[in-house]
Amino acid sequence: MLVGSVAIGSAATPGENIIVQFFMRITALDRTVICLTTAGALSGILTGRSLSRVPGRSGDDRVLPILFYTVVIGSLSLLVAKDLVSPWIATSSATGMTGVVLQRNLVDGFEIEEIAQLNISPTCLAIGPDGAVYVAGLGGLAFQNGTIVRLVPSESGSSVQTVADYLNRPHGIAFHEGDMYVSRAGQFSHAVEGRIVQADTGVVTRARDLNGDGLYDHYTDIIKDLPGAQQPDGLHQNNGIVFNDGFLFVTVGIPSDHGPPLHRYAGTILRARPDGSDVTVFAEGFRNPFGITVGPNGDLFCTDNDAAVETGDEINLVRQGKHYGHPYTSINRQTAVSGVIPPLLNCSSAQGIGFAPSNSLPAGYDNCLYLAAFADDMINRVQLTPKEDSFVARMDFFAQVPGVIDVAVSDDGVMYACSHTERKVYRIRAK
Amino acid sequence: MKWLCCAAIAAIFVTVCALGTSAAFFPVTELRIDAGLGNQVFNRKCASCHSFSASTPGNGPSLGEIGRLGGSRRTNMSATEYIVESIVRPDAYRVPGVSMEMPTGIAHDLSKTELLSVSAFLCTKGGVFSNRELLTVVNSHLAQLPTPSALNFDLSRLERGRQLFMNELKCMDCHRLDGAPSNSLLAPSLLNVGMQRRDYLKAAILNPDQHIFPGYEIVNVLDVNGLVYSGRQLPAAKDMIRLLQQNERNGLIIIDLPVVDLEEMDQGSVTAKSKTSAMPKPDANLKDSDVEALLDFMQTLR
Repeated sequence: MLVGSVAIGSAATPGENIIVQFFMRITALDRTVICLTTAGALSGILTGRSLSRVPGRSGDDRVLPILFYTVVIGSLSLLVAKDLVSPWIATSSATGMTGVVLQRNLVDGFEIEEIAQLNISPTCLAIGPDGAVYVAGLGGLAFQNGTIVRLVPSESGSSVQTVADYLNRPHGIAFHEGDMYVSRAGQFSHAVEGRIVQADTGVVTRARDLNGDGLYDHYTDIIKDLPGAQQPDGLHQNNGIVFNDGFLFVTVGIPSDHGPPLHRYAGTILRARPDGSDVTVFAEGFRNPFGITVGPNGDLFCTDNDAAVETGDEINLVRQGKHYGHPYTSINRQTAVSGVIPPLLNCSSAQGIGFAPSNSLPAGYDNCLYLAAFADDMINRVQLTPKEDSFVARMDFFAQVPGVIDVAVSDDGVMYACSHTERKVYRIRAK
Repeated sequence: MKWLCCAAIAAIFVTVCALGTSAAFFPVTELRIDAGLGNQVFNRKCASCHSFSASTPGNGPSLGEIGRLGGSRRTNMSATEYIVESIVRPDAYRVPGVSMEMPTGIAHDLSKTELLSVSAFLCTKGGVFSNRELLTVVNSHLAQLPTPSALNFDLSRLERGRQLFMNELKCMDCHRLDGAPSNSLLAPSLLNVGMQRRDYLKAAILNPDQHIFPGYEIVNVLDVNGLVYSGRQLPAAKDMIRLLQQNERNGLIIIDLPVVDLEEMDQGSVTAKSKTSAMPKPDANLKDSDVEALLDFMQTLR
């Protein structure tokens, strides 16, 4: 009993409460946590044994001192034990690793493996024309560097290589005819004649590998002057991009929480030719559309991070010329606006989105959208049933991945997901 | 047996510790009183008119000591009751000498948690509050709150209004919609203008001269060379007059004039307040439908 108690107590700090986490099956027990718990339990045994002979006291008088010393000494031993064992139980910081099958919570019939630990905080990923996984992310002390790495997974271990750098705040990545396109932005304000004017820093950059060494060496901003990251929010900017039907589609956010778009492209999905010409507003009325993907029948689907007064984030079916309601529908709950397109689905958190084509994943799991729900630490499956000229969407749990920010499925049925907070890449396959 | 009891107590103790620190077992509930959240709500909903500084009070009363002063504004009413009532039913009592009317209906735009939190935040300004009293007061006020009239808009009219506001009528040349620091220096920010009554907004748009926002009057001065300067008067050093103007690029221009170089205009003063607003009267051809579309759009700014 005592040992068990100390084991519980050893994990009592918020965030490391493994007993709670274990029973809720939120996370797998990794080596560090197991060692910590064992050390705590052993220290509990020792403390209990030694204090059972507290001198000068007997019987009931021993209860309180034993209780007190157990907690105090147990906690201290725990800290010492952690420092002692941490050097040899620390997770390897190597950038590529053999797939470690994790005991994570996910639907039956699938397994999840950790295939890379990165030194950037991923924001998005895409599967390249070569079948490799390209992950864009933020690096540096202040997250100021934008880096793209190529991850080549194999059964014997993954290789990770930086293929493009200096691309600040990349939030979207896509491929077209061998070139890589990166949606990115910065944040800067000028003082102009007494007024603070926030710079329109958002761009889509086309990166080319001219000498064939696998590293991108020729860069062109094909779309410029998008609103970019601006205050007061600082997070909203041009995000996910995708190619469909020979056109490039770019998601663009509005910087304010629920204010109107002050830039002509804020809160829209833009459509442009691959060379950046003919930029037009394809759909509007979004707040911070983040992920975008091509779903069944070539339809476009995007996520949108919605304002505080609404029920949360959205998944939208993006159709040309339509208005999706923001900011008008974000005023309060009593506001109704006729003529806007309601979301396909409301959900608590929606960031990256991917589509599993027919016959990629097992039946029932293919032809579905997969949603990275960052704040919920999970990937959700979204099943689509055609109805009139739209779809009925139904969402359920697929896999648990802490801090997941984006997800993509290859044609041969391998799902890749990246975690922003853990800086890891996962592979999920049918068993 | 003793050992068993001892171990059981220890087990209960550490289990309670473990569970007590766990957000998993005690998730953050929807309803909470959070002064930090209250501060955010204040900045979003209240700060365009109210400040906490007595020297620059804004267009609404300064709220720097409202947690203390609120208790003395009305008889038999504690500061907590006064603060909550002022947010939920601002028309119940108006502070004498304040020209701008606080709009009603703010409570409809707030969740209960937001209302509790912003009230708590204001109560801490110069005073203290009890959670229980605050919850009781808020509950009783919310129970009496009439169901808000739903806002029904049509997208095409809203978009027409936005077009008028941003492009055709050039409202944004002077009135700003962002939260940037200079957004209300030249003209009042319209960040939360949708909280104002629709008839007031309509009158202010159609007859700007009759609805000059306090503090934004145009002041004229005449210098000894016969040149006339006009602009919004700003605080200046002794023996100086400072005017703010806008150039053709919407830049803010500061004009400093020594008082000795100015002619006397009006009852011993070198400045004369203009009777016309800095805001131009709209074109007489502006269609009624466009005015309504503009008002629709402005009502969404909140």
